[in-house]
Amino acid sequence: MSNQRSISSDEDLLLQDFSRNVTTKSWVLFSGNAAVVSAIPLWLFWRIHHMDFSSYFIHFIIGTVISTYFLNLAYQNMKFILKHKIAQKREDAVSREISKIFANDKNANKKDKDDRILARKNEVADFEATTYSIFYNNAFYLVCLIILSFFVLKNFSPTVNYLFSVGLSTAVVFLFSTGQK
Amino acid sequence: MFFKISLTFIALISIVFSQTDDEESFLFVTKQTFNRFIVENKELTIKYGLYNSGPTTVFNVNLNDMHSFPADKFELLVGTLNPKWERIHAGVNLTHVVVLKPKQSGLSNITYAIVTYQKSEKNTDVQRTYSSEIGDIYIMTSREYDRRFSSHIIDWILFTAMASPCIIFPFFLWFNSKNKYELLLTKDKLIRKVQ
Amino acid sequence: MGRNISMISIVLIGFVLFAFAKGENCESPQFQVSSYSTKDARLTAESAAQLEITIKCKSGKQPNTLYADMYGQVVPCAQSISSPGKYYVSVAAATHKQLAKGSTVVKLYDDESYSALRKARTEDAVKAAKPFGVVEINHPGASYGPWLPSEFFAVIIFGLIWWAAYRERSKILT
Repeated sequence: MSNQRSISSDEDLLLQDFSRNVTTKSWVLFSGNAAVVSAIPLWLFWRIHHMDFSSYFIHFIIGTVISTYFLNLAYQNMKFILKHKIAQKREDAVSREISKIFANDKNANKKDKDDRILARKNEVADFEATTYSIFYNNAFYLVCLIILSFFVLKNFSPTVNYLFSVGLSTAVVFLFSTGQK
Repeated sequence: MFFKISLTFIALISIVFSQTDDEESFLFVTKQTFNRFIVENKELTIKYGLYNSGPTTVFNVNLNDMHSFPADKFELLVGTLNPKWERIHAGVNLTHVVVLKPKQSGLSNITYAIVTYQKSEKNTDVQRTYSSEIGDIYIMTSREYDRRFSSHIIDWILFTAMASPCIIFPFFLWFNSKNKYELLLTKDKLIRKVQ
Repeated sequence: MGRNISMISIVLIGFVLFAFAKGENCESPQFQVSSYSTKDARLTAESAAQLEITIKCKSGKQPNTLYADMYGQVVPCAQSISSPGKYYVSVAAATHKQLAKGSTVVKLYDDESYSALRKARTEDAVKAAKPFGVVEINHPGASYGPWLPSEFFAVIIFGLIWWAAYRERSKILT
């Protein structure tokens, strides 16, 4: 009985490890970040390209929504890829950490320790992958946006400038988020 | 024979008369703008060039350009639109600079200025000549000019300040976690080495 | 009889003096100058400088014609029809560099001193011709705007951040 239970919890952990599904908390975090990062350049377009909110309202809304959606996906993609690699790297360090905690506890058996290590490793890798994915994608998105809007598309009309720079930088960030190298 | 002689005589007389016309001076007036772009509420510099081509001095030169720049559309900043010179000697090349500020944007047409002068001090016959014209000009709105040329350094600084939390904050969290575990690893390795 | 003669002579002398004063040139003139020079080199293709001089004479009447020696050229000054007493003199330069930066001295000549200047044939005589007055014009130079547009700095900063992130990511993924 207990074996079955432990096997299913093992499976759960493994499933969680390999699953691409994100928890609600993670999804909210990603969406929030994506929305903020999509909204900040609007200020730039307002001040420098003199696009006032009243006339470009529709464009801004469309651009921000699309950008938020794809940035969200990009975060998730990159997080999934990074998580495994980070987990591999943190294996040793996490086991040492857990060992230290368990050092004073004589009742612990190997199984529990291994479970704890796996869970902790998962947790750490998840956290690091999430934060790094957000950091990297934000930087990449902003760089693409600035280059496109103020250098490449500088002399085009504000509408074209906004739509293409947001569209292209979102596309670039999304496409590169699944890169393995 | 007589006919031929009279014709030649008439021809000679007309040549002599036209020759005396060349003895008089003529004033050439050019009008141009220095601006690369004409922007509303920014300075518009107009230069009038007067050149006395002939051998004698011209007197009482009067330039009137008030009609080109009505007060409701242009504000006069520097100079006068109605200058006069008592005398301009032969061969002298003069410039007169006027700086205006357009109050409205859009398409506008600037025509010639009217110049009157006298060929001699005593003879009050007034000669009238016209300057060259500038023609159609497009006055940019200050927004357009600002968009292309003004330095937005403050806007960029504020943008960097606003965007940095999005970048610094996740980086900070990741960096802390990474350091913590890498430190654990190296510390343990050191302990192992010592042992 | 003697008294009459002295009376008449006083009156005559008075007339003569009066006549002299009427036709007298401007004495101890005071100059009020408002100057302009091109400051924005992006808006304009050529530079120009202009002086608006208002002359206040302690006695005598305003000079009929005023000439100015500005940046090496001696030109007659324009007078305004609508506001007498103001004289304008302008100079245009073909490029922004040609208009000398900093303070330049402008010598003013009225009819008398100008004819003296014209008659002078040698360098010394030219220098000896005393000008009616001297004013100054200050040209701070025409600016082309900031060296690098501010976008460059933003791109460099964000570019460096992204580049560091990219390298770190490669390290993680190996």
